[in-house]
Amino acid sequence: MPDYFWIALASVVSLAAGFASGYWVSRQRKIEELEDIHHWVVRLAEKSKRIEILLVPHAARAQSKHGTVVSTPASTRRLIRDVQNIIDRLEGIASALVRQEFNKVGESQGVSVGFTGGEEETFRDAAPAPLSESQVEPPVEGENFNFTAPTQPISQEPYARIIQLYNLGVDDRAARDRFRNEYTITRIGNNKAVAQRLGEVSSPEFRKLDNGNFLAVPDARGSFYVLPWFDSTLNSSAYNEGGFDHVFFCPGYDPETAYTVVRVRRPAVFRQDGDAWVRVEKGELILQR
Amino acid sequence: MPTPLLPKLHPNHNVEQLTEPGEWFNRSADELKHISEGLDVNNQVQTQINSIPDIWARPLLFESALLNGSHPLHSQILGEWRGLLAMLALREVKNLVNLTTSLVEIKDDAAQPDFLRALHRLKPKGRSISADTDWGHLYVFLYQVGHLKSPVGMTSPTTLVFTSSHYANHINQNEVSWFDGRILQDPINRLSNQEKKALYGWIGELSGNLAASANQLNANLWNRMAGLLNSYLQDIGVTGTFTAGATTFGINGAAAGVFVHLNTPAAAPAHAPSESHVRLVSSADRTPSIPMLIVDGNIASEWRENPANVVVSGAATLASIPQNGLIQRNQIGSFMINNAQLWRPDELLTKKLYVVRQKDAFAGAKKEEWVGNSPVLGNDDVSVILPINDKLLEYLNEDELLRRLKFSQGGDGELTVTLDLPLSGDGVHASYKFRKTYARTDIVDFEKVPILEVFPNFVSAKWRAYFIAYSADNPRATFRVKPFAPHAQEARIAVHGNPNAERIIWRTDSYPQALVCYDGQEKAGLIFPSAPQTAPPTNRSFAVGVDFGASGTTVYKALQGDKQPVEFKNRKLVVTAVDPAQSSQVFDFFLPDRDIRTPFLSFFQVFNNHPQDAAELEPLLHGHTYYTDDERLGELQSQENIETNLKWSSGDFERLCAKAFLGQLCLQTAAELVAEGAQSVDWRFSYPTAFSDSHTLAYKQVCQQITDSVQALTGVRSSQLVHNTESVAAAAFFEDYQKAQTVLGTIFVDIGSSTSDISVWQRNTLLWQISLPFAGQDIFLNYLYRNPSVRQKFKLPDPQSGDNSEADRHRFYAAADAILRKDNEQIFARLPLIASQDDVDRLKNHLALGLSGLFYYVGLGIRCLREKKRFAEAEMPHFYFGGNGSQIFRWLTNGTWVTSSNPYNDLFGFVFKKAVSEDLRNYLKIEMSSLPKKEAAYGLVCNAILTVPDNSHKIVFAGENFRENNSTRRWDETIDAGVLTDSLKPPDRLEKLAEFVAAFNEFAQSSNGQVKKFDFNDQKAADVRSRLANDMARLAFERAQQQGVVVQPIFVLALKHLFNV
Repeated sequence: MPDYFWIALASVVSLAAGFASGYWVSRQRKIEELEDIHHWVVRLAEKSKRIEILLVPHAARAQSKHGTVVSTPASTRRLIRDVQNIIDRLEGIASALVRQEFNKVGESQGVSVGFTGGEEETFRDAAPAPLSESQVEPPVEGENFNFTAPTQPISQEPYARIIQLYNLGVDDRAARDRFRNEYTITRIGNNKAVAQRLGEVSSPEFRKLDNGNFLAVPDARGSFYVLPWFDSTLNSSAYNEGGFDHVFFCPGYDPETAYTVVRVRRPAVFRQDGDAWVRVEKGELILQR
Repeated sequence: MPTPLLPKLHPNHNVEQLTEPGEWFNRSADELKHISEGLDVNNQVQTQINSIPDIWARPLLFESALLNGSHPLHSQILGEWRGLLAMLALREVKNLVNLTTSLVEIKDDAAQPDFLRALHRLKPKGRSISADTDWGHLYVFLYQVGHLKSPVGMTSPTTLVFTSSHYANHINQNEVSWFDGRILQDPINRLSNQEKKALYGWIGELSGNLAASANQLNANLWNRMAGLLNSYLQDIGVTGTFTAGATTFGINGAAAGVFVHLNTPAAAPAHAPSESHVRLVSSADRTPSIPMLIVDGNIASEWRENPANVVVSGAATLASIPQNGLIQRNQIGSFMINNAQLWRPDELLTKKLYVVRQKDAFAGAKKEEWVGNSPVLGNDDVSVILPINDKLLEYLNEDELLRRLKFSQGGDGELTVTLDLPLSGDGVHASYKFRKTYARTDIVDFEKVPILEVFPNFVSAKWRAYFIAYSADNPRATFRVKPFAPHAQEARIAVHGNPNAERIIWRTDSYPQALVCYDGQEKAGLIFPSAPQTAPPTNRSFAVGVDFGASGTTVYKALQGDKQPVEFKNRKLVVTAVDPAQSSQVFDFFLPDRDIRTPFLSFFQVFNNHPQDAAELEPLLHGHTYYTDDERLGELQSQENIETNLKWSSGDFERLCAKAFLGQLCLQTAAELVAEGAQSVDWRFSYPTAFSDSHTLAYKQVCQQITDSVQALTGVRSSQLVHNTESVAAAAFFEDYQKAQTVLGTIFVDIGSSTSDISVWQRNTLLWQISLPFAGQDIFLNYLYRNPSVRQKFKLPDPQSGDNSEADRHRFYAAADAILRKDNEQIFARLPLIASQDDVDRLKNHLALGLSGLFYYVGLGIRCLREKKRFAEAEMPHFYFGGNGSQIFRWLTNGTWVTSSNPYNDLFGFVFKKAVSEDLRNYLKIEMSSLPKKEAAYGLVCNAILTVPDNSHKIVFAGENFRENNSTRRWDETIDAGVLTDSLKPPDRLEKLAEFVAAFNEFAQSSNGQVKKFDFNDQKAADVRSRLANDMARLAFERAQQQGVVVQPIFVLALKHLFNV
């Protein structure tokens, strides 16, 4: 692995631990530091994609013509996936910490930044699960690798109510109707999906679409929380051309699997720029087959 | 209020007072007379008094009330009398099978029960309308409800019939509509005109029969009875004649008296369903197997008609609808309907209304009409699945149905559907608007639409192959469909990694007019795909050339000499506007959303849904051509179940795939030609001479089967099936398109992916043709397979496993070939920038060596021809190169190819001369194809003036010495499959190969480093020889196993190994 990967990894982990112990004094400084870390983790995520391309350019969906799975470089593939999962989690944590600090600033300045209530249950449901040791491979054999999950209650997140109702609505039609009654929904999607499937190399272009894969709910700051359209299935085409990869971290995502139950741990944040919908912050999904 | 048991007595009565209630008193029989005479019946009594303990009181009271117009019960009794007569009259018309009679004989006979004897003694005396009709011979009318038969009336000598005192609930109101549950009513207002006519005829007949025997009648009674009958006739309001029914009541014999005139009911009118007022009128293009009769009481309301006047079938009218509204397909009330089906209008609409939370979700479907705003659910726009039972499609076509359907939305979100049903009508009305309102609880919303597409999107008189594709990632989130087609062939496709998904392809023989939607097993309504385009009249004759290549396949068409590549237009109808995440999936199992240009890759993706040991794979059902020219080429090798070695594989399954691939190709080609008005096609296929005889034969048979099948499916007549060798077809292209001269001596070489097809011409006549299994894969792609640094420089994919297996190499060849073709110009633009790098330098030297080998072998062939005096000229022949592999020349010279000042041109000329003879005059001139890869397909459809002898001159010169049966045979001998035996061995020394390398190195020596020498020492020669020995043994074995083997020149076998040692 490149050095910057481990540097960023260690930075995020130590920062998380630092926050937990109240090491940082200046909150503003914290935010800046966290944003910096967040930036690096995002870059790390991009680099990890590149690593994947370089190491396993034609990974793993091969089958022989009669259906027997051909052995692919599984160990490399597993490693890459583990690394990406870790990065996804780290990005989620870093992002959550940034928002948490930001909200605290807003509160101290008497600025309403959205929903601050929430129940303990919601917190437990919405908070990123701490990584187990088995999920983190040490960079060097024998080196200790400690991880501390953030201790601040993420149930204070302004979107807690939204994702609670949304996640209920995944299985419960009545809750889904309540969600629709409670929030004004705009449907958006990647306008370039088919072009990208036809070989166009470009970033997703999000627009208001009648058949979009995402729903956007306005937040209190003039931007939008973005969640998957109900009953979305996450598979490779949704992940790639559909734009899920761009909008959400999808921990545990396996391109060979289709996930028909998709819940939200954290919504993405978008802002509207004319007709364009621009992602401000990636969300995070909870996937279930 | 007290209920009177008896009327009051008038003041002058003679009834002896009854002093004690509840006590029995003995009185004489006269007392009854006194009572009857003493009753004050003229007072207005509103209830029937029947407490007089006289068994005959009821007929007497009935008589009294009926015949006395001023009797307080006259009106009621008259109604009951008329009602009972109507039951007798209309027993067949109304199908009152539960009405029967039973004879009661009342005699004073010792053998009779006491009760009857008492009745006899008490029966009225001297009161009868006719002398032959007596109170002792009566008929009881019984009516059966359920299992219970109850008397509801009886014959009477004075009034013909009378009703029972109590018969409430003893007549089925659903059968006798004028029975109010308690008593019979005057039926006139409850009868249809047909029924009235029948009743009129029957009453008239009764009256006439009675009048005919007037001399026997009691004049007084008869006059009053005749008056009643006449007024009955007048009140009926219509006239009719009597037709006797087929049944009787069993009232006959002399003892029956005038009652015999009641014996025969009127016949039921013989209505056919076509005379029904409520028959659904079919669209002109529909011929339903059985008429549909719409049964709904509201039809009469809408028409402002008496329900009894709205004929359902025969005597059954809307008045026959049971009060609970229940009908069966063939029964309404007591009427059995045998030659039509009864449907309630609400059965013609779905129970629930299904919508998709998406605006314009059915972009490729016909649109319904909304009164007012488009529908919404909450804040979401929705699209509605038409809530129509597909049964209606047997009667009404989709356009008429759509025209007759209107939607509107109410203030509470409820959706109302109005279905205007065309009915046969009653001469005034001809339709019925049925309305159904779906409350929010009756509306089911889906979040997604599935992929739903149809190919092709046109109709032509004889086209019989339509394909419908359906795919849902999560069927819970959307609806399922089935095409409305009687014989749809269905193929389900498993979706890797998603066991929940549902993916189906149907083939139907007609354009799908409707798709039946389902929510689970429940029918959810219909979608009408948009109207197809209409193909132009078919009056054109085309020629089509198919060059089935190992890597790519090219198709050309010619119409009156105009030759054009066939382009498969996007002829799909996309019915649903699926979300972006789904839309791209269609590439993986159906036809892509774009036009396909020729050539395209010869890849076929198998769905693994075919039966085991399938003798046939149906194109698009069991697999599809994998069009990937510009899609995900980097992932090509990892796609599932893609067959890339269609052309050369000898495996049975691969041959099936090849046939399905060609089948789809011909089907799509036919679609293009039909869209241009094709009536017939000359199909022309090319094949390499390198095919073994058995492979060639099998290929020709497959082509025949495919073109026969396409003719049957598309209606495009296959006027001719021609096969030509690829080398001759390519020559025809050069002659026609590039105006090549073939008089002095011309050599055409089509370097494909797996073979180089060579033909040698002189005096416009073919001298020699051969398919050398030495082409792009051997010269170029195999080098890329083994050299990662070169791949990296040109951004080519890595092999999937790199294990050198045939499967892995073929997958890599396919992907690399596709990328090289797509990125051709960018690569050539990049080539000069990196040309000096060692890797690229080595690649170019490798390519030069490979092409030199090709020139050398052709030179050896020309030398043989010259020695046999068949190639007459001493001039250097003119070379034309085509095929995708001809791009190799451009790699040598950084993207361009010129003859002059080109060291490689000099190299090839030098090597060629070494092979032929040093005395060849002039220099080598090489021309490249203007349409690389399209030569053979073009050549198949052009009319080149070239002579191809019958024996086609398919000659394989050995090109290298070899040993057979321990004797050495010379390089210039011709060989065929017969040489491939265990006795075939390599020579002790590879003389010609060594001479070739020597020639190559000799040129390299003098090229100032532009061409590098090839290091070929004794050890490498021994290695090549060893590998050659293995090849020979393998080929001999394969031939012994009856496998079709390709006869390759010994020189070429050795040349291939030269690259690998």
